[in-house]
Amino acid sequence: MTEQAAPMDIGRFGALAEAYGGAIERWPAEHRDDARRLAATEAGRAILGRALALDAELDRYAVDAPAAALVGRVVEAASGGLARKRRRRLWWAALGFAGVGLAGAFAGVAVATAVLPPASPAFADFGTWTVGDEADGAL
Amino acid sequence: MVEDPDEDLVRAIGRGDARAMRRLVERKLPRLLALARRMLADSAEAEDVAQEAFLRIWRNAATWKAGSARFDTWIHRVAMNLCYDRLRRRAVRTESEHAQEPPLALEAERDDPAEERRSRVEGALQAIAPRQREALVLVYYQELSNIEAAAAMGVSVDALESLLARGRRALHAILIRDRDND
Repeated sequence: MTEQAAPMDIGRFGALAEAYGGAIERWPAEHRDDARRLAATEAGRAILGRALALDAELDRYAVDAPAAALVGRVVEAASGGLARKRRRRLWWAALGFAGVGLAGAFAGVAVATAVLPPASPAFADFGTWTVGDEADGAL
Repeated sequence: MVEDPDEDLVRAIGRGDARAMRRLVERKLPRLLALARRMLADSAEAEDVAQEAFLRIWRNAATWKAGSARFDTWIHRVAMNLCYDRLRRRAVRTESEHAQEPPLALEAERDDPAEERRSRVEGALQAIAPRQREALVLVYYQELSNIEAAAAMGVSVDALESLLARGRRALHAILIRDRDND
């Protein structure tokens, strides 16, 4: 047997208006039908009227859309991040290759030096990146 | 599992698709910027928070897994955490200086009535408890559902409704007091 939810009373109606404001379409969907029935009563209208007055105040706080330049800066920063990610992959691939070379012969050292010159611009671009940074954005 | 409209985009970013990144920035930047602006009342800090949030998205996109929460809810939580970092730093700074600078919003032009009204609401929002402000920003301004907002805040829906109601009552009292003082 399923338990029937009790119909909403004016107290619950008031609590929902205090939480979600005076526009019933912004209330949780499961409460809207009951709420519309109570909104037609005098007490319901008074509650919604007070909540709508505060909503109107809140609506005065508009925030400007971001400037196109900001969109560009954020994308640019992100593209830099991707480029670094790709270079990291290449770096690790090269390191593995060098390791194999070292294990095999002294000639491997020469290969590793050629692939990973310390002063190469790509390598310098790593900046302060260290293994483990990937995780610090995790919640 | 919930349907997530951002899932394909996030997966593409995880594969290194730069065009997907631009689309995500265009889609989400206005929302993240608005959230940070209303939490911090400072446009420069809000831009920093939005930028940092996107950097974290790039770093984590490859490991993103669709689950019980949508990506949009996740980035709201990331941005909110970054806002709290800044609020904590401000609190430390204020304690060390023994003086609180007025919020920038309160220094707005007084001869523009619309700007003055906007500034009053911004000031009132800054004056209420941060958790109440967070609940209001997520539900009223960002239009997250009660379940999404509660998940982003790590509280129950009942607790969220309590924060919302107390926040709205506090805002109402501040706005009435400001009006009476004029």
